[in-house]
Amino acid sequence: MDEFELIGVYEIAKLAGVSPPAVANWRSRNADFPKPAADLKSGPVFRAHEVRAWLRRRRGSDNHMKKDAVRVGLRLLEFECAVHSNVDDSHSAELVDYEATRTAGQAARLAMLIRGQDVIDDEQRLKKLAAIELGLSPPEYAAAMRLLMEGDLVEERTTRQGKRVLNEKVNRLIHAENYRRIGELWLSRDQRSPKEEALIYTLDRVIQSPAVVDQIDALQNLKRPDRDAVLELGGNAGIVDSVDEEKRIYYSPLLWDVSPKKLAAFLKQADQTSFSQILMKTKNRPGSDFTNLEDPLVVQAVSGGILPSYRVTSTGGPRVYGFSPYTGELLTCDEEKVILDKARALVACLRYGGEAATITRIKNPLWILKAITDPSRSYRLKPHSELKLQYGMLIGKQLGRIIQTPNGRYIFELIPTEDNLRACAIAKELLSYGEVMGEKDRDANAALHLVNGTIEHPLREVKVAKKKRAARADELAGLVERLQAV
Amino acid sequence: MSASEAKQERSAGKPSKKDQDLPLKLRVASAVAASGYYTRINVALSATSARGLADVTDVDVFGTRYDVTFSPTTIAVSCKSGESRGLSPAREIFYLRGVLDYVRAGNGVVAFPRKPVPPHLHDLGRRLDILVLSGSEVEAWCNALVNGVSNPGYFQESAYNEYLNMWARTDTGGLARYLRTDYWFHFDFRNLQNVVGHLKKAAPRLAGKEPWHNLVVLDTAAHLCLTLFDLCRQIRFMGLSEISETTAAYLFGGAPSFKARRDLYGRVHQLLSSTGVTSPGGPTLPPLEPSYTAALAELAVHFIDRPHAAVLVPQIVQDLLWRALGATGAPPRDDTNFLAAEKLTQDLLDFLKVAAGAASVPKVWR
Repeated sequence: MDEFELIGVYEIAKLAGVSPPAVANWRSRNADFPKPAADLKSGPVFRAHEVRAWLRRRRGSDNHMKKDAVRVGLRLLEFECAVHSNVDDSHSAELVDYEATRTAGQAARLAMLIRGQDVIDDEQRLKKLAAIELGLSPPEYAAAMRLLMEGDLVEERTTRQGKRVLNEKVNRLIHAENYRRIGELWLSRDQRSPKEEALIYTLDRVIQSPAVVDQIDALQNLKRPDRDAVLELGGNAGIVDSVDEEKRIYYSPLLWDVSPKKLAAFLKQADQTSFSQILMKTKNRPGSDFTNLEDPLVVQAVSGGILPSYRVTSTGGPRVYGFSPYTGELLTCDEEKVILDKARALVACLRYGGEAATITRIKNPLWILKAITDPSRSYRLKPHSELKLQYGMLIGKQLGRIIQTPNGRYIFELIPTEDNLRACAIAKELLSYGEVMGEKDRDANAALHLVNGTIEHPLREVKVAKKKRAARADELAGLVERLQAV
Repeated sequence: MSASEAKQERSAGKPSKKDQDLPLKLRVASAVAASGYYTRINVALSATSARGLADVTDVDVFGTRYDVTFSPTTIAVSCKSGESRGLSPAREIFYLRGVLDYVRAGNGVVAFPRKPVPPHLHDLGRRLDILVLSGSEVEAWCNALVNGVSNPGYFQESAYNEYLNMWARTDTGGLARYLRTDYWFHFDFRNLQNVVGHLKKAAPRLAGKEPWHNLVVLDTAAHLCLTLFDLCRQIRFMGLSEISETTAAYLFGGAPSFKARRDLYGRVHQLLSSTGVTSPGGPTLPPLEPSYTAALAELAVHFIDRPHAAVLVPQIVQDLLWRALGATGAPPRDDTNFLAAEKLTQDLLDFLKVAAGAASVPKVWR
């Protein structure tokens, strides 16, 4: 390799597989980025071998990051959604310390908003949409957009006729890839404050399982006032909360399908480490086999309702399948608990079919889900003698019905209501990823608004403050008359 | 090169030095391309087998374009600029009918600019759904195709020779031969893996340092795009929600064949594990599906989401290629559909970079 080889920003971008603006950002943000060999009128030039060495070092640290980047990306999105929904003044002084985190979260929301657009030829329109859908001010939009460009999720270009357009490069199929890029960028930023780092890691810690505050590593390096501020913001945003009055054990209210009281009572006796391991295991494999439980902690968690479990009985004998509490924002009201309950029951039945069925074992539960959601098959499975028992639980949950055939076999048929189809979709997500990723920010969907000529009015609408006025004398007299009549 | 090898090469689409019909082919191809078709000259319908190149026939001018359902509309033109008595219009018409059926082309044209064709053979052409042109009709038809359309200047003789030289001076292994012959002979699911595979082998020699390296990548990308449309059509039939499953199955020729291979793969894996040949920490079997399957599915979903733009991609690649060879190119457009098509073209090229490990791919815009 030639020691005297010189390269410019464009070549560095090609070398690293990023856009030239991303290289400019590296230069401004990383003090250890190689100094230019010369500053020419056409731009700086660098010694190629120094740049290559720097890129190698950077990639090395990337590999270390990648393990957590997807989760970090998800947490950033959840934090920003929570701030947007729950904090009254999203521009308060308290939030100044979380600027990098909020920008990354806003970038994640913006990415979800533009996903599927390919080309955005009217950025002003997008800015308005970001304001109306995500509450982003123009400076916030600009910062989020810069981050998306740095993460190669958006690309800016000029057409041959000189028009400036944006190319959207957000992954359509693998959501984790988008979260990974945002997470990596956040992790690679040097200027994020200790408080925001502590908040995201604390959220990630307690979203997996409740934890004693003294055992949350991310909080230990903070001074007492900062630690309190982090927990207070987490509480205000509704993402971190304590289960006990002494504020010793923290959990994430995103674990919404577990009662905090039950959790507190359980955690008083339980061994935190073992419980965390159990939660991890069930999270990695929704529908874990809990049939022959020997660990008293699991027995206690199941019987106490901390780990939802489902009993399936068929020709292979009874089996119990357990799930970790639900985390996320997809199901946000009590009515939707029913849908999650159906989805879990379905997963339990499919697990049974794969592990305990005596005649035919299910090779891929996703194929069964595909069959029962297929209108061309009338939402039915082929006749089988085991279906009556194996899917019996689903009748009680009004998810489907069993039909007996003349030769003594049974057909399972899904009742294709909206809720049941949604339960099947969640079951698919649980079986595929263990977590629902694609729908984290359901509000961020404004595809129609980006098509010129449609749905203009929300973009023009100015919210007029409603001023309260005192009732006029004649109105008051009318009210009094009505009251007297009652 | 022996006489038989020379004949094989010639019939494999490599034009002979004495291709008397070339000016006519270029004229017709230029008109067909200007009217919105992705166009090629001397498309060989020949396949490589264990016994060498099996010669079948070739198509003088072949143009194809796709509608929003990713279904092709294809035109094949047979160009005969000779006037000798040995040239039989009737035989050419019957021959072209067979070729049209083979390449599933809807429209066929035979052009005899110097040979008078008797009226009854025009009737024969009509019966066989083939347009028969003779004398000045050929030029009039070409003019009609480009009437009102700006001429992008593709298929100029000097540029075409440069194009042929580009392939000749680039050592691309079997890529050139594959794209000239087997690709068109089979024209089905096999092409996806084969195009990527051949480019992968040639990639180390295409570092992007020479201008013609980019031309090779562009030409390959155009071929990949046509076969990708076939995948898009399959996915549309199966339902977009099944995209992951359909993409993997398509690469192996359909769901039953993929399932059989997957079962066999599973059994081999089980056998190797049980005999201790493979172990969790040690060497293991390579995955059944190519590593780029997920990226391919992602690209396909981009195309399916925006079919109006996607079907313009071959034309944009064609424009980039001829522009690089000195053509004026199509006029610039700034409508959203065209901008999306340019973006999808870049997505396609970026996919080739990832899948085939090409050192560099051209940029659609500067």
